[in-house]
Amino acid sequence: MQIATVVRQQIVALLLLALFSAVAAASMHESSSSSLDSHHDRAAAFLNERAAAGHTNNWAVLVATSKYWFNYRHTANTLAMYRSVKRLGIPDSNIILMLADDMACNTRNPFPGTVFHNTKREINVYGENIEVDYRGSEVTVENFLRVLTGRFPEHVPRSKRLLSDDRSNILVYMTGHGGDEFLKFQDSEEISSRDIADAFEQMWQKRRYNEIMFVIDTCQANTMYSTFYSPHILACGSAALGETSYSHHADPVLGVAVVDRFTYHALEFLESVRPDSSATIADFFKVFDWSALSSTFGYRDDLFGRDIKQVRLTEFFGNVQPIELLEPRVVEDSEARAQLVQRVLNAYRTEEPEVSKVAPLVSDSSTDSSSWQSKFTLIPPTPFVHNKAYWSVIGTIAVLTATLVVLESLKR
Amino acid sequence: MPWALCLYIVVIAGVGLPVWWRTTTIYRASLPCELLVAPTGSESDQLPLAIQVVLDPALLLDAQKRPSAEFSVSDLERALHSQAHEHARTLSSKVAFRPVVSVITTQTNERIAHTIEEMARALNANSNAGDGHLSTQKIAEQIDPPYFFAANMTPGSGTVFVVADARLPRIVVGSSRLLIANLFPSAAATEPIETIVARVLFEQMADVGATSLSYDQPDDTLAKQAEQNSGDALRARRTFSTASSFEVLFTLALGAGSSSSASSSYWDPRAIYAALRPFLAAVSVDDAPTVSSQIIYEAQPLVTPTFDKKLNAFVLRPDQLQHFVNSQDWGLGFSTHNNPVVNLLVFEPPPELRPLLLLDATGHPAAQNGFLIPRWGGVLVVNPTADQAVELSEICSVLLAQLRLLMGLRTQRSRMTELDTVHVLLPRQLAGLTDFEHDSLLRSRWLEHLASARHSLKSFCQLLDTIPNMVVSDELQRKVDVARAAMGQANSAMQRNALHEAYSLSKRTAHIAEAVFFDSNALSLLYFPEDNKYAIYVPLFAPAGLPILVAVVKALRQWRAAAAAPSA
Repeated sequence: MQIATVVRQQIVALLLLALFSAVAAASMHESSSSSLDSHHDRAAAFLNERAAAGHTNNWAVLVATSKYWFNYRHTANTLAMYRSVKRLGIPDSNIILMLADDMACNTRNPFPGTVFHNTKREINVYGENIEVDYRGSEVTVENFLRVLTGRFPEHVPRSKRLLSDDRSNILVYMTGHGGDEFLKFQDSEEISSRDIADAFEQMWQKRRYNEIMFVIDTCQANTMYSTFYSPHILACGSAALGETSYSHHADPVLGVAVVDRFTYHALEFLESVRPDSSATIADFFKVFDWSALSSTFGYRDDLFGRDIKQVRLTEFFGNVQPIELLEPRVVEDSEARAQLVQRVLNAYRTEEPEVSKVAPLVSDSSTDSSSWQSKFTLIPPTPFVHNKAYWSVIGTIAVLTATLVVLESLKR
Repeated sequence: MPWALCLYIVVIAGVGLPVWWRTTTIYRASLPCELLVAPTGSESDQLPLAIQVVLDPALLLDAQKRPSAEFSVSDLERALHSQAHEHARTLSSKVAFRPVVSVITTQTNERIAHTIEEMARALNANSNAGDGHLSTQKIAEQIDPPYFFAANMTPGSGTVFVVADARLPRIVVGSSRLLIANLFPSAAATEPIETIVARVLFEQMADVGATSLSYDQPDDTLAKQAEQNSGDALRARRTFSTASSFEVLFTLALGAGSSSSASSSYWDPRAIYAALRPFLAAVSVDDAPTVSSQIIYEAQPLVTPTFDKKLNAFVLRPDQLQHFVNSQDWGLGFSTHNNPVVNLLVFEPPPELRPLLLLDATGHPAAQNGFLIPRWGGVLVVNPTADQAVELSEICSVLLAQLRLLMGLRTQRSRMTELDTVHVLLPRQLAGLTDFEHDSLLRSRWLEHLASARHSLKSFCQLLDTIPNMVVSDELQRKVDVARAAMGQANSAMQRNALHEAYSLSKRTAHIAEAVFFDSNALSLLYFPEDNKYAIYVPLFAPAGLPILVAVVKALRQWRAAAAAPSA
């Protein structure tokens, strides 16, 4: 009798719990789908107001979200991309590389100072000259979102910032371990597709890009771009929902898989591309068929608004600078000024070079315009009340207490 | 038992729930979003254009050939207003110009009187000196009023001197903020003088396209603009944004084999800076740019030139120039500040590749052997030979011309509508830009800054709608208030025609609005998806709720047992 009561009560409790979570899940789902619809409408409206043709600069954000020796292939993936965009002309100052960077000098690496992406070890993707902007444990969800949204504390140096403008084309490449609409960051946290979508929206709102190409190589990668809603974004991924993104092959000497299939084939294609190549995005996408990947390659160009057959690969992977030749009128103009300039130069040369002449050559302008800022003291970060670890501890304690209370009260 | 239960419920509901709610709610100070997101129709920016007309009999001295025509101020006003109307219609940005015309006839002001005297004397002196038209050079030397007067002329205003002289062109745009309108009709004149004056005044004073702005404009305006007026679209593409200050980097890139000793003979960054400093100071207004220089040895462009037999030179086509700059190896773009860098690069090809010429689209050598890269900088290729050295003054004048374009200025010549009737004089100062241009630059940047500030605040409000997890602190609220106040001040300063003050205030506004948008604390709660929330709160609420449920069930059972006992 006593046992039956306990069982009955437990069933009731479980049912209530199930009901509660079902209601919660339903309401959550409803809210997200309705907001998505409105975003789609807005995105469609935005597509009409296409910015005047062309970008003037290129940026790349390359992220490997895993660390440790057994994830060698993710580092190799990212470095393969790094090598390609650098070779095609994007300077290091315009590349944000986020990498655990624990492979080249790993004690288990029999070829110190190198990272190879195939067993033939032809191309050392670590290269001679590498600039890792976010290293080791700096590769966090927060830092990644800060890079995208530009919300930095003031002391963050230029090399860690994505200083793009409304004329920037940005390549975002991510690789690591992921699942349905999430990507793990170094086994400690994860980013959801929603977070990236919101970050892109923040960039769009501030006109911090002209176009974005989002490339992701992870399991169930195609779920990662499903929630994007900002315009001018082209996204592609290596595996559909429920599919694994496979590695290409393992190196018996290293003892680990060295590269993922998607990136292996991407690099193979990119190696044949020169900075003045006319290869298009569509050509690039043709590489990724089922026989090459053993997973379903997917892409999304509904937000992009341009035909990918018309878009050159170098618009994202390269740094083709538009140029303007000087008009003859400008020349007349400058010729007329030459006399004046000559006079200044003569005056300059006749003067004795003084120390005071040298000083203003490099004038520091960093002290300006901060006067208003002095009125505002820096606000300490708000306590992270939603911290998961905190709440799981509280939850566990609460569950234990509750169980004891229930048992006690039933015993009585 | 029921009392214990009630107390438990009271504690949970009265203390636990509020504490939970207070500690987990995302704090959002209220922002005046309705005001910021409001449709922009009402807030079109008003730009006053103060114009003074000097109508003095002393200036109309060509007695025997005295023109029958009179200068009508009301006609000028009408023409100005129709110009303003035209601008409002065609210009993509929401700008309304408000011309204000005042007339100076009597010699009330000593300075004006003095200038009128000076100018009358100059005209007199010239009227004695034979017939025929005066050259631009001569006009610049003799008629353009003395600089001391111009320097004192109010920034932001324009002065029209009405004269009558057969040998002057119809319109002379002076180096300072003045314009000489010649009443004497020329044979080619088809339009009344007032219309021409109004048009030239608008060209000089209301050229507000010098911005990098491509937002805060109605739908697809830019696309239309690109079709209609590719010049403006190109200008917007190459102009550096001025919301922050900028840096200038002079680079001399020497091809392999160019001996450094020979190069250093003409490369003198200090001299270049001396030549460009007046211009840089003028365009940066109150925020001097950081200037640095470097020399790159063994510089190798990413493209190899081909030999052209006809030109007897090595050549590069325009499509090759797109890959010319080797940013990877040349170490450009590394700066310690976060400001944009204006690169001015001079390339000296290796001796075996000289002379190196850049071709234009038609296959002819391009003017000045240089090109621009929008929002990046300018490149100039020099070919020094044994017997012909490179003149630094040539380099400087090309760099100056490139800088002018990168800062959003037009070339003076391109603005000269009728070569015969309108003469534009080059500035006497060495700044490289006229006072009219400087005023226009301030006006267009004022517009850009305010539009950018408004856009930042508006987008921030829209983001708050889109992303419900964003925190809005009290500090942020205060910053928004400061930004709005500064915006109002910038506007009222402009209405008072205090150009410099309006400019600095607008810049401040843009800075604060930027700080609001990029507030680093707004990110703290961004990544917290809904499903995590439920996963976390269910284990919290279930244990708190379970004892209540159990107790209620027990209480009910006891109550039923108690109710059943008497009947038994």
